[in-house]
Amino acid sequence: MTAKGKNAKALEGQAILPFRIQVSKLRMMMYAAATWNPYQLHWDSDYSKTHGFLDANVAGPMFGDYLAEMLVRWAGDPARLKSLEYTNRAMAFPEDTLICKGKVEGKFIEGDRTDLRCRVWVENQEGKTLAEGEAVLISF
Amino acid sequence: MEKKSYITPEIQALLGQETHFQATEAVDAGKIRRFAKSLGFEDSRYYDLENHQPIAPPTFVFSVNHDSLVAMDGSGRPANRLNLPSPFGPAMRGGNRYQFFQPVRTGDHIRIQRKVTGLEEKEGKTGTLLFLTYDLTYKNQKGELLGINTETLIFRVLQDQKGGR
Repeated sequence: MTAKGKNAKALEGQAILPFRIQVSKLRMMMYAAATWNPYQLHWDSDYSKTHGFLDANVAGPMFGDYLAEMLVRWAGDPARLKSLEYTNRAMAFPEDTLICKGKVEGKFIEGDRTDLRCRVWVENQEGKTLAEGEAVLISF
Repeated sequence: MEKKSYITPEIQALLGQETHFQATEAVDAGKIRRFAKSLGFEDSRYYDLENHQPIAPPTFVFSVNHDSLVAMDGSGRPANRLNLPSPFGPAMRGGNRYQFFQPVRTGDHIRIQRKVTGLEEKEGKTGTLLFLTYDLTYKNQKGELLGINTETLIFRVLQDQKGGR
């Protein structure tokens, strides 16, 4: 019998379990170090303010990192992420909470393989959309 | 009156440009663990303290700068990233399309090809914006496709720049 991802039977319209995390300045600095990208816009408040921003802003790829994590956590093994596409809509700043959310919007069955097309987005603690897009999960 | 374009011949020449990069070293357990830890991920598979063969989170290949020796510019931005000359301000990430083909493993020696595919000037609420799009194709040392990242950077004309919520 083929193994099934725990959400292979997900229904269209079903919500994906959200992923929530507060992004501290320390986390932003750790991310800059771990990704070997010390661009000051993403951790240095003074530099960012000098360039017209409210504060250092959370690196855009972190939105994608967290959306992908939400999806693979929810899908479980042996499901895998096929694609993730997102557009950044607004900035996040130190101490903001990022809340990744998603919803299954389509389901395509091909043999013993099920592809789930999901709408995904990131909100901050005020409910403002920071990024939004679409992902495809292959859920065997 | 014709609208002024900020796309100079130098900027126009970027379109279609192909550049190749190679990681300075193979992916190791520490690089994967530091990435996962910095994001606050708890999945034990990203750490694998038993066999020291952690699996990388899916976006690891795209988010990490794989060139440890790259120069950084005055703002700390890796110099191998695309930048535009004055009057454009710092690059901001517009969006990404990630396609995942194969997970990254420890020992993978990553090769990257960047191809600039789009250049578009638009009028935003805060002034002129330039959207620069390129594909980053990631392969391992065996030539196996790991992933493709189609990325769009946004550059604001500096005198119009204002950032905030």
